Amino acid sequence: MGKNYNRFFPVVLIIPAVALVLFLVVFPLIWALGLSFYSYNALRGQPPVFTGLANYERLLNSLDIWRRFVTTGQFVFLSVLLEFIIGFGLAFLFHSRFKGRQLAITLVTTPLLVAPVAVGIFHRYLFDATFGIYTYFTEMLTGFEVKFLTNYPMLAIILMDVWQWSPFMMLFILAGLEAIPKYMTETALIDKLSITNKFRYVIWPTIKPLVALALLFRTMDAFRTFDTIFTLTGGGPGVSTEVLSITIYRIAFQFFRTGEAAALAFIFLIIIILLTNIYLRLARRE
Amino acid sequence: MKNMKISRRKALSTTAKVATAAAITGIVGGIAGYLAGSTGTPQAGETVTRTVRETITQTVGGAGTQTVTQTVTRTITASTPTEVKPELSITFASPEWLPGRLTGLIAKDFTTWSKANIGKAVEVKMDLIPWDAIFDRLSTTLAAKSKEPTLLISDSQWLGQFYTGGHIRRLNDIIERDPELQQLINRFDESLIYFYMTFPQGNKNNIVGFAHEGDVLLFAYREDLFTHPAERENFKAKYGYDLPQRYEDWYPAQLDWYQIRDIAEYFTRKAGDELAGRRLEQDFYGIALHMSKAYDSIACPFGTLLYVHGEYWWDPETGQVDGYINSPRAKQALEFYKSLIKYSPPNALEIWFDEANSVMQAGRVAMIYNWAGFLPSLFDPTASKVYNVVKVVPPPGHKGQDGIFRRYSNIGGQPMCINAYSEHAQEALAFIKYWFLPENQKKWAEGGGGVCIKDIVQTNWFRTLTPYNRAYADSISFQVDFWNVPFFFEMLTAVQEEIHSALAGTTDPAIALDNLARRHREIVEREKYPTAFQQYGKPAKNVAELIRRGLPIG
Repeated sequence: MGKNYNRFFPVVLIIPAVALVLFLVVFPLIWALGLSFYSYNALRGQPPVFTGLANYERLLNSLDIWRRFVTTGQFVFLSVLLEFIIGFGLAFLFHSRFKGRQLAITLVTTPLLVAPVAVGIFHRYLFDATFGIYTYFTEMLTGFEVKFLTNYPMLAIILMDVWQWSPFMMLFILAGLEAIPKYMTETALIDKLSITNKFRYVIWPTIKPLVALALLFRTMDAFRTFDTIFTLTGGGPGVSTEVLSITIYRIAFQFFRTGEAAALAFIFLIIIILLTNIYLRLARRE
Repeated sequence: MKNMKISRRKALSTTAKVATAAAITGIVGGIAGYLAGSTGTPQAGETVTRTVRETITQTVGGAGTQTVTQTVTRTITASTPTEVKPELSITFASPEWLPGRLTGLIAKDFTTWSKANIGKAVEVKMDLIPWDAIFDRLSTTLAAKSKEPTLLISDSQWLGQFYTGGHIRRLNDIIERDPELQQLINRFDESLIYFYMTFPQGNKNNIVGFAHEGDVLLFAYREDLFTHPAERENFKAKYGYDLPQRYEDWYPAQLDWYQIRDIAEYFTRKAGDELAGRRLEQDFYGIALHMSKAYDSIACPFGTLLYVHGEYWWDPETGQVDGYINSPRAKQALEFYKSLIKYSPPNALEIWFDEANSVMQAGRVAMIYNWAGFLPSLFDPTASKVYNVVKVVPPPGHKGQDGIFRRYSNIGGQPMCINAYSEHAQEALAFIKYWFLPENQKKWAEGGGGVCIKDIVQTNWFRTLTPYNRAYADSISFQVDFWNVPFFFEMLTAVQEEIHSALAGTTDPAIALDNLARRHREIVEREKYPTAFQQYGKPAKNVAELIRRGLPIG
């Protein structure tokens, strides 16, 4: 009894979790994969028609879809890069002790708590070319009337993302900085290491795993950004800020070309998995 | 932790104490709730006043720009709804806006009415969904064949998609059996039946909804500026004709959209310039009309300009696109639309109904072209700096090179439909009859709803009830809609994307319309229109042909 109990009890314990994952993640994923080989409109009420790889063929041959990949790539690269730089700066700032540090950290991390839809909506007001406060200050500083959402829409969505997610980078890097053993910094001081060498030999090796993790999380998250961009620009002007997640949403829930949307989602998923693997391999090699 | 041993007796005793405390709290709470409920319940026959609250997020301009949320209240009177206990509840899905909330208030008395008239006390519960999300919510709910909502508001262009998918009920068989409903049909304006109630458009063999909220695009302008003697004199000296001064100068006079552009140009001023005898502290703009990429923000005003230039989106009978949306007339319409940006606020390409209202409320624009359904806040002193100097008129037309003056405007508004999967179609029909009772239509009108019954709309009482009702009533007859086919959303998205690109200057207008024609042609061919939809019949009229000839649609 004791032997069997020891063998089966852990299995019994994980059954609910495994069942949930199977029913809510694996099964829908397999179902969606199957659907991607069909021509199916969920709203028309007609049976799906098997079309093989036609959906994939059409999407991969579509210039519009490749343009969306480029737009998504631009957005992800630029916003994650800026978030990394700003997060790095903030982390170093908050690594030093000063009065009101805790309060400042709390305030800086507040954007992380705001719902993405709200972020999009209030940035629409901030960037508004007639009444917006960003527009007002930009005009005051430069003397030019800047229409962010019309003339610099990509900059607008990147700035919004940077506003919300730089603190995330900061938290990871700050955690890394705080984890540097005191004796190492003291040794660096005794050895009179230059700032560059201190960073290269003391700081960077300690914070590197956390930076890699933060970059990985942010990159994956930025790829699937939807709500903030959708509420700020709706993908416009024209389609200049339409990232892939918005395209998938439109095909799935506005055009109801369900099979095609499933195919595009899988293409997107495969690309993200590939990028993640390349990323992890590079991080490991480092 | 090891030392924390609790005896079975102690555990049982604690559980009993917690249970007793919970039971006592429940009983006390229940009694309190009952007493509170009783005090708040109006007595039978008592009249209660209910308030609809409309929250307006208004951006107030100035050196320090700030966003202010204000609440406008409207009051309607309704009799006590709590006399009868509901035996059945049905859900009515509606956009979350003033007409939706007002519908909910009027629906409260339906429980009593239904008990008396169909022998069953039916409660109608509103499911108010934000405009941005309602199409997705309804389409996914209907795709899942959900039995509720029993009643739903469908934007006019969704009708084909919902009906061909089998999601909303065809009502002809019911109407044929019911003289009351037959009579009701005759009380709607023809253009509302055409665009709100049928699929394909105007085909009365498929009546799929009843007009609920009528809405049209109207012009709201600053009367104080248009009647100012010095401004009038200067305008005439510059353009050689008078600024429109009275309602009749706008309608039925043949005011032209190109004159509107002159007026917009004339009133566009810089900070420091003089306007109606006062020095401006901020820039002032001539016109604000919808140009945002959101939903159908461009398709509606551009539709208006397309129609007045004598063109339509396509041939609704054959599905032919080339030579329609990319014709020289269409290109002229787009060039004209784009030319208005010069006289619009800097956020022109983000302007939809809210933004148009905001700039008017801030007193920084001479005219706006906006939905009647969103105009009430212009007249609210707590929300609008210009509440007492705004007048509302029907939109102008345009005299083409063929010498024909065409006045058309793109329709808004929505019908109410019955969910085909609902088991309570009879109760829904009873609600529809209740909704169109004269006393309820009166409440609807008084609360600010867009009445669709022509014998009410054309009464002097209705026309003078609000500052915009007269213009609304006069505009119904020349309304036109775009496609309500099952693939409308792809057609609409292509319009929004291509024309927004042209307005933003990233694509040449002529190229944008050629791109649009190509995209529309691909969609129409893929969907095999009209062959694949022959079973539903064809549109009653060729709207494109009528517009080209400058004839009325309804």
